[in-house]
Amino acid sequence: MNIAATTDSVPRGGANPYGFVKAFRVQIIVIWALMMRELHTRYGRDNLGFLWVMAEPLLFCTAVTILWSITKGRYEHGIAVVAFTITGYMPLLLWRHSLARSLFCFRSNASLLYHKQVTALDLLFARVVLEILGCFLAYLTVSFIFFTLGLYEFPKDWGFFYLGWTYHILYATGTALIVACMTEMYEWTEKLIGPLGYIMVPLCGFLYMVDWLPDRAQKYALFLPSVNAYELVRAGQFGPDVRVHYSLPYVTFVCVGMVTVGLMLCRRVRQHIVIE
Amino acid sequence: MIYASNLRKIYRSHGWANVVLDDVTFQLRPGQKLAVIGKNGAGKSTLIRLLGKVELPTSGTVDHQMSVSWPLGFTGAFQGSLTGIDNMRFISRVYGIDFEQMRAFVEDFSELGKFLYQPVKTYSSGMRARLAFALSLTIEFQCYLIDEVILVGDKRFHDRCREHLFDRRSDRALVLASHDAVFVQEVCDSGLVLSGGKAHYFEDIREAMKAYQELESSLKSNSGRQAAEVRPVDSSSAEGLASSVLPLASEKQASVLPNVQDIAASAGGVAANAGASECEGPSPEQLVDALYKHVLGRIPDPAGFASHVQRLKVNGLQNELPNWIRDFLNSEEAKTRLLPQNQQ
Repeated sequence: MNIAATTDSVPRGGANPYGFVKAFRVQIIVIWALMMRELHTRYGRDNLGFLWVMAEPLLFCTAVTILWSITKGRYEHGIAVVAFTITGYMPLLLWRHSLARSLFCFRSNASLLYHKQVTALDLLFARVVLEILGCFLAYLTVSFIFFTLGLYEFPKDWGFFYLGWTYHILYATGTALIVACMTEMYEWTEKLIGPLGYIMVPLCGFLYMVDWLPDRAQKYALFLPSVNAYELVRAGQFGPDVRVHYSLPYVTFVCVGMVTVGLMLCRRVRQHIVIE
Repeated sequence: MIYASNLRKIYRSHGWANVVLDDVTFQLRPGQKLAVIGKNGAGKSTLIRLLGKVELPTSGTVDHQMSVSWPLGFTGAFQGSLTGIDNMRFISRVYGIDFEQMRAFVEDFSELGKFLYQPVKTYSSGMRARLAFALSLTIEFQCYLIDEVILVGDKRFHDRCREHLFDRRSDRALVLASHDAVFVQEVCDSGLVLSGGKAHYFEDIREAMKAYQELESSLKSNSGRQAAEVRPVDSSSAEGLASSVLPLASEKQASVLPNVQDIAASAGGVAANAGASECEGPSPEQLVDALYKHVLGRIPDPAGFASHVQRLKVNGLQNELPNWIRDFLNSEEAKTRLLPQNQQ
């Protein structure tokens, strides 16, 4: 049997005789294969499988909606509770899942690094991209269901909405990159991730809008990139109904900075990964 | 070509630096069969892993100008929680090979049968080796990196590897980490002797072996304590796995012994009969049972395994044992070799 081999080992880094395009193609193929593999390991082939990605936030949003509808009515601070929950929970989910998935991400997949097309960065990207896709699918499903029930209206300004999401994605990616590399290089940092994950739930902007805070607290809240991103998402969702506060230069600087630092760490981390 | 330049690998832990390889430079031509020779701990596996770019050198570079396999050994390359088939699917995607073609060949070559649909972590080392080998053969690499231990043990597997890799694909380059003089001289044409982190390259494998033997004997005469650890060159082929299971296995003919764990895995049906113990003297069933007990600790689900065995027994499937296992079990050699295990 002679299968035409398309296995030219594309050297990563350094002089690359195959060029950027070929290397990029290999990377896409590898990330795709890793994502498929990840789906199998995480959700198996039985029962709902990948649909669980959507089912979980759907359940949460339903529960919160019911709870808040009972305690607060359908509106809070003059805006719809359902829309507020959905716009708040989805990015939080993205960030928390990315955080959890990046913990020792390299270590747990180290045996795959035997195949030299697979790089450490691919392992992480596969997971983060999967989380992003899962979150987006979940968002579409949840919003569509609540839309048909008449509880949710689509964003008034898609531009702001997507801009906010872009920052959320950058923020989650940056966090994942840094956490994955730090836990690999310095194991004790893992202990910090749990508390970080919890403390960020009330702080990240999921539960409040900056405008509701006392003046003094507002400027501190805006130090968090996620708060800025939330403001943008909600500016898109509610339009002129709400007053938003954000600083584009600041949030761009922090998010891009985090991703850059993460990528730089990723170049160094390969030396630290112990492969059985 | 593979160019390895000034490779240096230092493992650091607890303030102690272990220089495994120190300034190793050589080239590998297409079609060249290079043996990497050295005693245990000399850095053979490390060099293979550096060549496969699994591990990064502390300094120096490895440059591939041909497609190079991943290091074929007992570890790595697979995700333990996924089944053999799912791992195959991943590898077919990553290397761009048609999955169905790959599956057809792997099913035939590896003879894993239903085990292909079990998680890889439940495989014995021999089974992993068979899967890894079958997969790498479908990818048609121009150079194969092989840790020799995986060729040792199972005679039948050994023969098939030889046929497929050394005969049919004799145009491929090969890097073989080994300390089995006989085998290496049969297969390889050149040698790289590793000692104390340094590599000595020999264009002729016989010269390499001679140098290695001289090195060994000089070590022996120099220090009595070290000499105890150094085994004669031609007798340590079954180190590692086999010697941990069979005390006798480190003897000269050890490579004739089939892979012990494979027997236990595939001979489960016979093992179930051993409880009856109606016959006098060690029957083949009892021998297998003894083997089974030895590997029991490695089976993650003993209860499931036992019920599997029971099912085989009920269905009378023990007749499906491959002939070579039955022949081996009936041979005098098996009885003399395995008897001490049975009495423990």
